[in-house]
Amino acid sequence: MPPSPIESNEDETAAVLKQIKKRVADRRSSGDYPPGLEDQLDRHYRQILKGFDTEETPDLHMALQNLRAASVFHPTQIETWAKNPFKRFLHRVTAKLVIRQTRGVLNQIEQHAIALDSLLNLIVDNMQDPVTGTHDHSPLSNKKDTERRLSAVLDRLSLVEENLRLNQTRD
Amino acid sequence: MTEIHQILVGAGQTDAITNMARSLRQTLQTLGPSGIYAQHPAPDVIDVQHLNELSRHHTASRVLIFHASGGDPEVFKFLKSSTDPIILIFHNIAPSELFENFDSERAALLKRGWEELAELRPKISLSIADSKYNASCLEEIGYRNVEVLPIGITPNRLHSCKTDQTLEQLLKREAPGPLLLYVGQAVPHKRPEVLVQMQYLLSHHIGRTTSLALVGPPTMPQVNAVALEQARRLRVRGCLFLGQINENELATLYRKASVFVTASTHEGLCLPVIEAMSFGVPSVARRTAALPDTLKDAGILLPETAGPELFAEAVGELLDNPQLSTQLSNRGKRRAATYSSTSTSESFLSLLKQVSP
Repeated sequence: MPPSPIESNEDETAAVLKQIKKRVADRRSSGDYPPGLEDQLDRHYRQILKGFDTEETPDLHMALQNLRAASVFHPTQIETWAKNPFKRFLHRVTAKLVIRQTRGVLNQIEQHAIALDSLLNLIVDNMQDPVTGTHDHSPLSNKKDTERRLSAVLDRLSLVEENLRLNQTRD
Repeated sequence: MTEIHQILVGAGQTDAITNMARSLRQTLQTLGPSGIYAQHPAPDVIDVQHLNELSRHHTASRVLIFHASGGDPEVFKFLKSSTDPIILIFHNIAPSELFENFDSERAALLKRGWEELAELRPKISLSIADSKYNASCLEEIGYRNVEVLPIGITPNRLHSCKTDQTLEQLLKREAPGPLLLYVGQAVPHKRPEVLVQMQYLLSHHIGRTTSLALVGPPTMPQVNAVALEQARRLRVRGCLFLGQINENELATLYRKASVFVTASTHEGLCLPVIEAMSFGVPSVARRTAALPDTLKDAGILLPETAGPELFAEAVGELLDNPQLSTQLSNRGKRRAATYSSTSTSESFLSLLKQVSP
């Protein structure tokens, strides 16, 4: 009995697929496709994807507050305790002997921290959204917002193209 | 006179399911008043009303048709509390795990969609799936006697569209060689990056000049953004990410395309493949979900796990073998014609008699 048309089509597509697979194998063996090329391309894609996933907007105000909390400098915060009573005594005496110098260094660090805090505040304030003037700290919000704006720009562009085409048709 | 209204989760101007509902409305309006309601209609959609506009009061002659394609608590609440007969038309819901790497919120909504569908089962008077694959998915969650009817599909709907001159100019300028076309939403399981990698192999390893146009609404813009970034880093020439385009532009692309190509791993039906077939464009796809049934013998079906190497070779085969390409093109046209809405509308009307009050 002759095969039905559907069966023959299936045989034919199976033959085409076999041929395609053979050609891929040939390209691999001839070096057109280096070993592991598909895996390499997939890894490359995943690397890019990972970058997109972790591209979060850091909470800058929170980071500034943490910096401020860590910017308290005082000689009492310098450890003088030791297990050995003799060493403990030695640390305390040394601390008392160099208290003037210690305070001088801490004062300079504090002045530097205050200046740094003002500078970072200015930078963070200047990083506000140029349109809304607000900060949006949700993850990926800046990227999403950029995408929305880009879509809007592309929409505007297509409108301009449409108008241009209409004008050309009228001319 | 029977009042039959259709309910959708979302509605868009060029969205496939909204278009299917629009086509079905023409048939339903021959029976009586018929509207389309959606919980999330896009702002530019004027022929679909918000679900809030649909009266919650049951009338003796009212039937509701629910197009299931995603989860939504408000739509579920509406249907759950309704006492009208409900017809389910199932277009499939993407498996949530495919979205978890990209958008956990969307993944949760999809998962909820499957749960809602299972919970609605006792309220459904008639279940219709638009493909055999979708029917089997419904049966897996307990539905029985599911009718397979690809309702509301107009394969030739774009044939009357004009060729877009601007796009044609752009293609002449920026798309050298045969045009490979992909049409679909930017969602993870459509795997646009595999097509970018395919184009990379075609140009850098095989030395063939082709262009790849990727078209579709940016449902999850980051999906295309990552694929585009890979194209940029690999310096792939001839990759055109065209995004959401109008019907004239889409028709222009189908007319110009030499091959329709999709690396999608999940399709409930795949309307773009049907449209490509109607234009006589041969397709390359993976043998997965509904694709083998939709495409039948009108394209090259690669294994489910096919990577860019097989895709590149399959495209090369179609470009080098005009006899095969013509054969698949002719089969595609015949296959697309079987989806004509005239025959499915008649079948739908006879099914409707089962539930009409």
